[in-house]
Amino acid sequence: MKLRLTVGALALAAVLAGTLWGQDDDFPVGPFRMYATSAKPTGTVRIAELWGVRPDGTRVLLQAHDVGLRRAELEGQLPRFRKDPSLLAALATPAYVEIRLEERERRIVDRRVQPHQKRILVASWHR
Amino acid sequence: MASVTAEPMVQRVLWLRRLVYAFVWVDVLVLTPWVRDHGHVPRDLYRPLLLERVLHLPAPTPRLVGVVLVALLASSAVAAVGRAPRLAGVAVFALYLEWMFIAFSYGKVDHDRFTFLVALAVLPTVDHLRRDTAVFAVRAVQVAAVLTYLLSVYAKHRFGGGLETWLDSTTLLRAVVRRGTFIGDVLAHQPWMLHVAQYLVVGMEMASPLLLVPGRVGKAMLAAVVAFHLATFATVTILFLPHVVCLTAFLPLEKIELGPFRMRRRGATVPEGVV
Repeated sequence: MKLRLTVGALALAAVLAGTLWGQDDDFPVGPFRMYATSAKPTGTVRIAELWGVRPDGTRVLLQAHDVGLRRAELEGQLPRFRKDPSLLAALATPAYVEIRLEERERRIVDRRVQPHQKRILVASWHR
Repeated sequence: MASVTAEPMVQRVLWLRRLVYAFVWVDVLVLTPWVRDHGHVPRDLYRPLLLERVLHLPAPTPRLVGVVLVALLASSAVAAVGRAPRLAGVAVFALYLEWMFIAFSYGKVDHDRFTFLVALAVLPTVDHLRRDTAVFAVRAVQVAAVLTYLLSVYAKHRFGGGLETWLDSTTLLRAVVRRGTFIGDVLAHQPWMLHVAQYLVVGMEMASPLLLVPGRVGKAMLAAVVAFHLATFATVTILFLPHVVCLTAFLPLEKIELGPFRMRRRGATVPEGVV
């Protein structure tokens, strides 16, 4: 029982330290930061979308299963894709001549969601 | 042959073990099929976590993911039926942790696994003839569940620019805009409700240690927590299911009477294979 309590105390110390100073990188003892960031009553919501363009120009919204990455993972690596769009080539399949990583933007003004939305290109890769 | 006592806490651990190890199958095969896809994701997009770098774990490949998947399912099946609980349990813990590394090394870490990992870590330590080891395991899972709520309040303070700022922010509104259901969409048109919900969420999280209080108070708190998880699922389709499975550690699972799993009379000792 002494060993159990010692290991338990160490695990507790690790998770407390992770909460105080850690990052996601420290999984499984990183901070519990789900939805922990703040957003102002007026601002923009950005949602990453990955599009495949067929040779005839039709656009197909790619799902997580098509490329092996979830939306949150695309968003987590967004700065990398922006800096080096050729990374998108890794997500291409022969069916598409172009892969476009876009952000759908939705405005919120004083807690009111605005009806219009626009799409902004983050990075693209052409075959 | 190993024996077990009919001591309630030991019986609760036996049920917890069945639930947790059976849930590994549901998790891997049904809830998070995307983890398997990571074997095919190009290595350029692999961002190993601290422990993976320290332990020099290999980058996921289709073969590695396949081997871990089969070994994890096999060991959790063995552990779920109570065979070789130590060996199988330790194997499940190690393999599930590796499965989590495969899952979370591509730019996004989920935060609903802590309690489940604690459960996988403590279940193999239970000696069926010793009540104190069962009590330790159940309490460890319960405390881990409470910590998940309680420490997430501090995370809101730390990452949200102060707790007061978070409370009056539009975090839930944005979550609903990003991944709302039809219920979430209705709430998006009543932003004051989502604003109030942020106060309720923090209130619930701060009150979460009440889960550890025996009797009515603990039960009421458990109901509040379950309501929170249901509301989260209804509005943004997020269900922290591995964590929710562990909440069963707060239930008197030992009272379950089900055919071959029927509880033995207090103090009686029965062979493990019969339970």
